[in-house]
Amino acid sequence: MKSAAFAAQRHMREHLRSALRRGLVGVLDVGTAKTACFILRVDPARLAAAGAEDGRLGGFGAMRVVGAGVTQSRGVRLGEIVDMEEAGRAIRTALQTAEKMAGVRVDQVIGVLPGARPVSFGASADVDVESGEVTEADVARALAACPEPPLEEGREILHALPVNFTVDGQSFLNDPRGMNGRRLSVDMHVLSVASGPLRNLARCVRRCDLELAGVVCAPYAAGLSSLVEDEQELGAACVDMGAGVTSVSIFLRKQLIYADAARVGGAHVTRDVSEAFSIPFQQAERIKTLHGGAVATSMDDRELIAAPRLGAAEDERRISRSALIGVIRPRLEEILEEVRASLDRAGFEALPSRRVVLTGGGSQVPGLEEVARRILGQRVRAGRPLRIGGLPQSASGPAFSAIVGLAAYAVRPQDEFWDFEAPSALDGATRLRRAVRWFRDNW
Amino acid sequence: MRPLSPRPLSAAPGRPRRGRRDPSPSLWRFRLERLMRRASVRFALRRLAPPALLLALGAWLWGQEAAWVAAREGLQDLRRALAERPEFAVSRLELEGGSAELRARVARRLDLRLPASSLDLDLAALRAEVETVPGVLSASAAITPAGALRVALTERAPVALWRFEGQLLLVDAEGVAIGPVARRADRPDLPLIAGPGANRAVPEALALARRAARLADRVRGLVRVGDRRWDLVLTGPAAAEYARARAQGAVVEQDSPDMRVMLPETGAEDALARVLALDAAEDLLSRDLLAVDMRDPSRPTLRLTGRALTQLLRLRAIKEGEDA
Repeated sequence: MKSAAFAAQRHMREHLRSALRRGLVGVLDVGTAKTACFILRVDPARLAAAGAEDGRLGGFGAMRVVGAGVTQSRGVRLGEIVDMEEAGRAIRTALQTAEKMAGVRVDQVIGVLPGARPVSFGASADVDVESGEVTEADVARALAACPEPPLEEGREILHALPVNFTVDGQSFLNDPRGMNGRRLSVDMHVLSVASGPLRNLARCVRRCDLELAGVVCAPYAAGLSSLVEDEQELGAACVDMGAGVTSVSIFLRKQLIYADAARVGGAHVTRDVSEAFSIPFQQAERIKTLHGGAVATSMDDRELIAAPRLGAAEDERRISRSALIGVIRPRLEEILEEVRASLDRAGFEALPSRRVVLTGGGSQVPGLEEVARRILGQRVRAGRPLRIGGLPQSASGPAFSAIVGLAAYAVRPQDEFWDFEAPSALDGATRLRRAVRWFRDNW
Repeated sequence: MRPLSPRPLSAAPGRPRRGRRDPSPSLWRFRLERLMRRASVRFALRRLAPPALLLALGAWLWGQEAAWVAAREGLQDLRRALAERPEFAVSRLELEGGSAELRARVARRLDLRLPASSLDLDLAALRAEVETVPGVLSASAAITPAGALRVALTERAPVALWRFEGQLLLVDAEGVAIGPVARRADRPDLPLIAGPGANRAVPEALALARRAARLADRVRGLVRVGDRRWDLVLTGPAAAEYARARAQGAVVEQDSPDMRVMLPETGAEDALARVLALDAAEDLLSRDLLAVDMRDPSRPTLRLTGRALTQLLRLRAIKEGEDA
């Protein structure tokens, strides 16, 4: 794989590192329904003290949410920004609320990218170890030797995660550096996304005078926060049911091995309700969240819900809850079928533990687990993101699993392809330093 | 699709018109608020800017002539307004102590324009002024709560009359002139002193006058001689005769009718005591003498009048004749 293509990624990593050194980093989720922004205060000493065996819990312990801002999204459809100006306003609102709460100013923001049609590729390569001991340069060479995934026009690589290292036949190594061996092979998970939404997000963030310190695919972030450690280890799928996009990620041996997104979500359910009963969209959303369900019982026939007809606010019409469920359920089933198809494409059936965790705002429909068990198998549970210190109660539900996972990623970023790359060309600062040294030595 | 041209703010989509305010900040407001969150900017605005502004304003005003004038006038107006309040008004002058004549003199000297403000009255200067009035030993000035200026006077007590440059002055023990007296006879109780520097040795003169109290009906006065010593001047024993002769218009071939007791520079009192003792023993002062010279205590000398001298010479010649 060419390393020159990842200058932007490396640049964002630099921003993230400087933000972590300062101890303040913002995380931003521009979703279809809501735009959320958290400001994290990171304790670098505690972060450094938390060992690798603590996993992401170490990262969770070292950070604290000092500011949280949530606002309604505008200008976002199906997880993709369609109106830069409106999306920018939503970002500004959320960021300003968070900054006001925190009383600080953040300059570096790491963002989550929902939708954008992620596609996973696997790639592997093996190289000879030069000195008998695996060094960082060997890892970089092995990664660089991976074949380039077939990228279509208008797509670019968002993640290139080394998921497995093998040294002389010994596999499942997280970090091969310093090990003895002659042959190093690497398996890499490359995730590509449509470049349009990615660039739009970057542009939008930059228009708010922020530095983008990284972009993480939404299913990956949701999996990081919603799957418990053992589920990540043994193999599990995380289904993040957002408003516009339902994304799927599969973890195995604590590594993301597959991510996909279906362009259908909770907003479609609301739209169905709105269309079926001719209710205004806002009312439909309210009725859905208050009375919605996935499984109807005979009780529900008798429960009547006030549902004003479109254009006639004083209308006293009532609909039964079972009728509402009758509208909601087919759409939920359709979403879950999409998820099922996606999991089938990934070969989820072959994994030893086929746990499915449902999270995201759309997963809060009562009875969803029951429906999901019929479609996705028996091992389904509803998941909530882990708690971060200082997070308000209102921002700790399943709807915030992606942004909480993003916070976990921000303080403990996964080493990716570009992190292993030894800098081949001199960057500006080094060049300047050398010039200064030359002057000092010679004059 | 929305129009590509810039839209008026009121018609912006996503901004419901029905009174619901858009919660999102405008780009510039957002930038401003983030700028204000910068610690350095906040420090500059909150800690540095106000004193800097004040300094700049102060420096600008410093250079303005009009500002100085206005400030001075303002201060004066303020002071005047304050001084004219009834609480500070002084409406009358109360003089205490001293004789009515002295009080009148003090009032004339002060020449106050009442009512005045107590803030404009300089009590210390007033007191000094009062103390320059002849006859005032000391004075104290105070403003009573009732709004009166009270000046308490202590009058100088006249202890002697001083004949000075043709007029008679009352002097106190320090030799300060208090006021003129028309005639010697107005104050027969006071001793009369005269001569250059007499007022500088008043206590000594008083002591001498007290010693000579026994001769009070004969004492004319004390004369300071050469600013060094005193002469006690007494009327001579022949004074009455002399006066009668003068009254008849006869040219009297006679020395001054007065008798002088010339006292030394130091120990004048002792010398006077000796003279008085001699007088008591031998009626010295009833003799026809011009002067009793005690200037050299070891050699008291008597100066006889011309008549006495001729009598003496005659008697001495008779005695020599008898002897012869």
